[in-house]
Amino acid sequence: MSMNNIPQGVQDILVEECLLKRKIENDIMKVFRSFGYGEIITPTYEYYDVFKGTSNVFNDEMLLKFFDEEGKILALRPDLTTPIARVCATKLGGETLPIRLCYTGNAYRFIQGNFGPKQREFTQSGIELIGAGGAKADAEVIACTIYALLEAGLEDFQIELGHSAFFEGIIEKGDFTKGQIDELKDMIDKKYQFGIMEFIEKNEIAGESREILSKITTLFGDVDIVHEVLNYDINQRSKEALLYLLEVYNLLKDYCLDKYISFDLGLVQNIDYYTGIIFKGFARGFGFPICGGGRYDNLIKKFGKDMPATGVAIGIDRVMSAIFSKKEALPKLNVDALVFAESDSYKTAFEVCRILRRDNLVIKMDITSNSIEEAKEYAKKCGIGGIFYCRNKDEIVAIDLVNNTQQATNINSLKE
Amino acid sequence: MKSITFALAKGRLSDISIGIFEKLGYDVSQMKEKSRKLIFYDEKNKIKFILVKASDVPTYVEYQAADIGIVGYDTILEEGRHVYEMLNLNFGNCKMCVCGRPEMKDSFYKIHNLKVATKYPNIAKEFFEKEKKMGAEIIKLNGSVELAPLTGLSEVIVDIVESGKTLVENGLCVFEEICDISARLIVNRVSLKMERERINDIVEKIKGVII
Repeated sequence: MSMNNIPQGVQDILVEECLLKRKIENDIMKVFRSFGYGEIITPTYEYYDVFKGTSNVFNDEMLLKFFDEEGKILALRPDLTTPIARVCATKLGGETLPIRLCYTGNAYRFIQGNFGPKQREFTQSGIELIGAGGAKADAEVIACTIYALLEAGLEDFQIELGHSAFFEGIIEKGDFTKGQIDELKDMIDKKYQFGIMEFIEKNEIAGESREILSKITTLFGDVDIVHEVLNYDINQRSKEALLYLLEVYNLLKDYCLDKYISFDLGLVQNIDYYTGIIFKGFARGFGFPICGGGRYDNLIKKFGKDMPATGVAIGIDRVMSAIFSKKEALPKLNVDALVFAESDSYKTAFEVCRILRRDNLVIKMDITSNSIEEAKEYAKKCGIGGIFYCRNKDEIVAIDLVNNTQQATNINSLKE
Repeated sequence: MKSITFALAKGRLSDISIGIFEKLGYDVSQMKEKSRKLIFYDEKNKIKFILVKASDVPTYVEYQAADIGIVGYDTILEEGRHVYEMLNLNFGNCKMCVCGRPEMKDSFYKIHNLKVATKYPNIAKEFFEKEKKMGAEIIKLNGSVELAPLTGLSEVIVDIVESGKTLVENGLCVFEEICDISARLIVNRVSLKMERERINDIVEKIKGVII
């Protein structure tokens, strides 16, 4: 029987951890909203074609699929960007551009293979900036990401920028087969310099591509690396990619956020989703990226409207792990006071609760104790510091369990 | 300053790895004493070494329990972890091979549902299914793989072959080479970026002593 278990890759998030999760989500969304991004909610599942027909990001094994009553294939959303692209193309035609949207929601993937965190249900918060091309849009998304991570409580992190056109520029002139390009991309992705050197020798690559490929695994670091590579013999396409990165960097410098920025020119994408700048975020103490994003100018076109777009998705579960790694204690569920009433004074007790809760206090009503002594025991066990004891209709005693004092009061003085 | 943690594969690669660290000037005296300890520190250079089972090295590195690992390419292929594979250290060289009893050499590929015993089920599956387009029943073993064809457990084995001595002694031979294997330096993807200067420096120094 699997009645008492949960499937692999999903999780119950219990009270204290849930408090932290919601706090992080709220902190991040607050930043997104302060930049003028409006929240939207899209369905948890959609037609399979929405995800399968638009990019090569999501393969069949990755999608959680099922059928509707007509036999059409449905899929739980593997990300939230694709549904938002669909919404933009089909429902937001008349809006003034650019459109700024944000979201928090769960995404679902069968995680394949051996590597990486194994969550199959995970929460992402993100923004999409639609209908604006250019460095100002990308810089805004990155700046907004940095502010959001700071607000969520991370300090020691880096956003690493790359550009998909840089690699495309390098291989543009070479007469490579798709298989060779995939092999090369894989080695660049693994920073396997030895293999790339072998590849260069085997395929007799000469000229500009040779120089840059032989160094590509080392082309990461601060902004100096971009300036350095600009001096290399690279073609126009690669050069434009680097100049674009510098343009975004200079804007981030004006935001005074350049200390969070680094570069990896060996960031290659095996997915056809991204068309320009790409970026990933890393936090010290957590071994996987905490966020990722970039420009995806061709995605919305697949749904019938040609609009440039850029965005980011922050992995909430990963941010939580990064915060855990700082060994911070989980937040505690705070209860300000307990209310206990003798059996003839519930009306008074409920009034006391209402008045105190109106002042944003967290008040628990004692519904199990049979005497004030039992109520005190219960409060101590739960770590609640005070009790409002409704002795009868008019008489209320405020008991301070921390300092062991008590004071008589009544409804009218509580109201004040 | 946080220590940089190295995960080293226990067994055939660890002695050579320790030799490399010695050349780099790290304090490896504790590691050379044969003890049962699994964690060693070089306080001066802020380096921590952990000794783990070879097949666990990529796991430690992927999850950043170690920043850098030294492990055979056979393990990397088998585990398929998401790490940077920065250097070919060019020691521990051997080959991943399909082996079996000599009389099977020319006919093994004709057997439908060929039984393959191996410590490397992923590599074997990939090779027979993707490259050979053969149906194969992969039987995972944890050691003494050479026994499998001799006892009739399987027709062939997939294993690393260093000198070939073990094969010969057990009356087996190599049917086909799958790929070259050597020790590799792997690095966690976040560590390389967050500790760029220190790890780059270590990688360059190691490059210097192995070539």
